[in-house]
Amino acid sequence: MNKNALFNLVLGAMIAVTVPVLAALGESRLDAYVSIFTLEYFVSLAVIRPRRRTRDFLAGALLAVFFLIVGFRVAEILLT
Amino acid sequence: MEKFYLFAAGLLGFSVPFAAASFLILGSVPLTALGIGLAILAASMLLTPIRVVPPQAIRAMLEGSISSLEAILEEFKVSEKGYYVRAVDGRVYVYVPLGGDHGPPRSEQAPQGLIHRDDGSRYLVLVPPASELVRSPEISSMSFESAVGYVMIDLTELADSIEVVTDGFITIRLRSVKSHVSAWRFKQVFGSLEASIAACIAANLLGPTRVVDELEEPGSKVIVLEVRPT
Repeated sequence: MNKNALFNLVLGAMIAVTVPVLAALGESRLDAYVSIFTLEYFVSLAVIRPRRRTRDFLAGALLAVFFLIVGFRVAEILLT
Repeated sequence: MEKFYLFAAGLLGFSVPFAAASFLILGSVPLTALGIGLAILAASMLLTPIRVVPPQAIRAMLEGSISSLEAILEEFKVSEKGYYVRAVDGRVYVYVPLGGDHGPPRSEQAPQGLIHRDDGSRYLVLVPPASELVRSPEISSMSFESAVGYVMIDLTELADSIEVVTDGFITIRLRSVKSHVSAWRFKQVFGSLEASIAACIAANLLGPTRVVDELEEPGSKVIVLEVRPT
């Protein structure tokens, strides 16, 4: 199978599994979901190594959001 | 616009308001997360390239072009290893020495006709299968390793993975090679299809190149290239 298509298929499957599993576990923090999505994206990217049409802006955006989430968590711990 | 991208744009267009509505109106975190997840998937699809020509077709075309080269080599009865040299016109040619190996040609002039004379030496000049492929600006702007990986893995899917080691010679290890070329003279002169492509890229990016050796190992193939200083 074309690895570009495989990447989207794997990512879609991971997202589709993550949401009901975390919801079933009673997870109510949105940042936990987004962090897991980011992790899944980068793991799939590293393993399958798909080609991209342009620079991977999505990876940059996800990484920025992830750092933001981690920053807020750290700030929360330090300030409380 | 391709249907695939239309679908991805549609998915993105649906997922963003869906996530916003789930968060602001319904107050449901799992549904909001689902919307974000769909948006990520849609953005990933929009970043995915669609090839007009499938890799199998590119591979078949490259393999098909070998037959005519094999016929020419058979006609000239040559089996000397050829030199991959980039001429001033930007095209990579294979110079097969006639009457003994006397190194690659010194002049970079584009050859005229099948027989090229250079400094008293005669060469049979042929255009390798990947000559036009490696001329594309996309490949010309890459590093050697990236270009080989792009052509062998992404474009033609000739191999599943590659590893390049440079230590005087360039050693390329390919895993799960998929080409099936049985043309004997072609293999002697040009190397295998994979070696020919790698040599073409090396000639285009690094300088006159020759396929020194090829080793078949279980599940992998090792190609050794020699790049001569220009």
